[in-house]
Amino acid sequence: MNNRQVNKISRRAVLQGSGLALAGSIIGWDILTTGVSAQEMDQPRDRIVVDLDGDVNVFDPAQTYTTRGWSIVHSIYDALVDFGPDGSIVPLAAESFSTEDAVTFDVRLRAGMTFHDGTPVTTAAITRSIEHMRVSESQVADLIQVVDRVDEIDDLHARIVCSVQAAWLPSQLAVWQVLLPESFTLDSLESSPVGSGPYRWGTYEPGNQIVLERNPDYTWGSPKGAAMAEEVVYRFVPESATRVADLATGQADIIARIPLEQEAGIEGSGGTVIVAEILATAFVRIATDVAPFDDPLVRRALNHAVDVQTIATALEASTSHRLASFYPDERAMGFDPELAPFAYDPDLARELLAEAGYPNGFSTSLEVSQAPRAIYAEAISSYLEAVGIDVEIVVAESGSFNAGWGDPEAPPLRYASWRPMFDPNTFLSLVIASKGFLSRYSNPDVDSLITAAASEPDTEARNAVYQQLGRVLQDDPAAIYLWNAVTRYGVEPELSDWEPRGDDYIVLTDTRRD
Amino acid sequence: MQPDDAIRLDPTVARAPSDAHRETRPPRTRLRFSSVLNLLPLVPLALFLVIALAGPYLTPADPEQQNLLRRLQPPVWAGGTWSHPLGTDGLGRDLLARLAIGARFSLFIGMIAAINAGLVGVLLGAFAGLAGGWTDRIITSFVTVSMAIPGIVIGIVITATLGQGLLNLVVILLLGGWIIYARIVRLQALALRQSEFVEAAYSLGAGKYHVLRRHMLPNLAPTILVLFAQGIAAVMVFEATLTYLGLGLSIEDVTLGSLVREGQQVLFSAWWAGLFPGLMIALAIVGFNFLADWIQARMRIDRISDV
Repeated sequence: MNNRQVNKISRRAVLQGSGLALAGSIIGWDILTTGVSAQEMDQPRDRIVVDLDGDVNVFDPAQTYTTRGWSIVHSIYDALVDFGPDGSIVPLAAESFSTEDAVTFDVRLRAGMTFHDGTPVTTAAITRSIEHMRVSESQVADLIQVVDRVDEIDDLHARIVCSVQAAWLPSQLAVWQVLLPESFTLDSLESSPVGSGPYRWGTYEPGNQIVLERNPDYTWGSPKGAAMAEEVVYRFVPESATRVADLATGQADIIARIPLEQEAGIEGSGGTVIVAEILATAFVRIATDVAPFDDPLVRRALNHAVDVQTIATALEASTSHRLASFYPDERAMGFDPELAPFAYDPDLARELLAEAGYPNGFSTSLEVSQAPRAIYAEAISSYLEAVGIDVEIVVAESGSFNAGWGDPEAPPLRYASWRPMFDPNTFLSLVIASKGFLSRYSNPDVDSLITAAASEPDTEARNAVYQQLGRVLQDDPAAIYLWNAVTRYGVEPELSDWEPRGDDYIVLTDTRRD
Repeated sequence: MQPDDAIRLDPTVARAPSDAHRETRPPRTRLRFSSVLNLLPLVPLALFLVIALAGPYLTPADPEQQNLLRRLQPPVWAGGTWSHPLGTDGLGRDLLARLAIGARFSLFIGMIAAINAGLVGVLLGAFAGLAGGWTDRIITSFVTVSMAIPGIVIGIVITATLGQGLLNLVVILLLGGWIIYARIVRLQALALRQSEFVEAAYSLGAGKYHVLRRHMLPNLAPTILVLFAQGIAAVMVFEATLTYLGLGLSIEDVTLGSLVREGQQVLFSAWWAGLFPGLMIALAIVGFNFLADWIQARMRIDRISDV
């Protein structure tokens, strides 16, 4: 991960310095020169306040689909495996996690782990969590159906046995499969969840905030790290300008999802900007089940019509680049540096539209989930209108937006981003495969390649299949491929060395603190 | 506006618009813009109208033309260039050009909504005041119930059920704007109903429609004019509020409210993007309210001259 941090002497620092100097003159030089010991530095802070860009609403791990939700879920629970910063799968609650054939996964849990209710973490928790996923109303329950059974060999040793080869399974488990205690119920998952993670459930005020408390028993040396604070408050603040104001006035210590243009505001108020190159892909999904988008020529024309690189540089980040398909960068399986993105060529776009039978363009609509993201839609639609495509922008509330992925009545174009994309199987299975729950795209060749990659146990061979898939998706585009998205945080100066996770979850743990 | 703030009809104004009366009115030449000071209250409105109506002549920039390489350029006096005198927005579009088109659209919406609200409110208020009895009670009860429902709630309900759009927005503004006309006009009509010339008209066999058309409405005209001027300002603020909250028009429609919303997103890094649309709204509110006061003042002068 490449974090860009902007540090400068701020007004806040000057004020703090002045205050410190005044205190020094009153209390005496000795106290000031004593300083803060290294041991005290390692102590968790009393409280960290995080401004998220919206409410969480759902806490059932099986029905969590947003990074906001996963921030809470992965603070309370531990999964067997986790994503490393480079996208690799690393053991978490599992001491070891291995497979020979991508059918049977051998799991050995770490000893000494306990749930927040004091009960020990055993292999029965794996069975419980997978069973919960299978019977839940989760949108990804179908993916977990591949698990045939869990053989509990002893309290710390189990085997997850699949019905077919499923090399992609660990990346699913890292997101959704968290260890559940014996006492869990469907109600308790929402009202008072109990996990084994670094934070315990505190309080939840819908529409306002959620409070988590440090788990004092989380001392077994988790790769996740130790809790950074005794109490973490996640506040729900949809307006980015309000989040910046919260940081400037000291009401928040970390603010999430900051647009590029807010950087100056954060720096000007003494905060630090951290830009994390998470593995995320931004795109305009094209529904191919309606005319004129059933014609690949039209979809290629759309890709040529938009100056993606200019938009990416101006609105996302200077490090963002135009993508050739859905894979964001070399950390993502399937990324092919040899595959060139579509060129910005409005003349060619007009020619393709004319060839497809639309010399005068056509009218369509583009849906975007939240007003702050509408600026991307406006920029894209401006380029489309330049080649004759009249675009109506529809701003949807995030709930109705998420419900409309597979709706044939929904606008044919939708701006979206997907994260994390370490392993593309989930995204491709749900959004691109013709039977995908969120799909409005159909191509038998693409379906075959998605299936082939999913059952390929060899990593390099899987990578090659996904690369081939990327080329097919250029010939028969499923989207206007945009850019690798970044996430931008604002933090107060004392947290300027905070390292965000690569998957965009805000789990306030620190691997440097034991 | 509360009932106590309502413009009260001076008994001296409650006169029959007879030809004889017009003939006896003294010459009004001394009242016609005799002093520059008299025109000062109209300056904010004039400034607003100049920007709104003469926008294309003030800047050649296309309000829809985006230039991402020149986004968030400051105004000319803050380091910008004369090609974008008031700077650019988040997509590099000229802010002055967008202010002009936004002000024009907001004014258009304000006028349409105020006219519709005025028609509905004046007719209902005048009818209630003139008819009295159960008709008055029913209309008054309807007004009271309508007052209890906040305009924002009406906006949310209509937008959620019918979606965004100009027609829906005008309906929302109409539903929130007619009440003030109805209440004040009803009070005025009640007062007029007791006046001698109305009673004289009835005694001569005039019907209610005749009285309404020939005696009531002409006498209510000054009040309605003042209310209309105030109503445009109120409707423009309401429209800006709704659009700011995403309850008004589509995101592609440029109004002062949508410009404030866009500017608010970049308030900490590009103050001009939110400040100038806000100032335009302020100009409109102050301008139309000053216009209303100016009309009121003129009415008083007329009364003095009549006396």
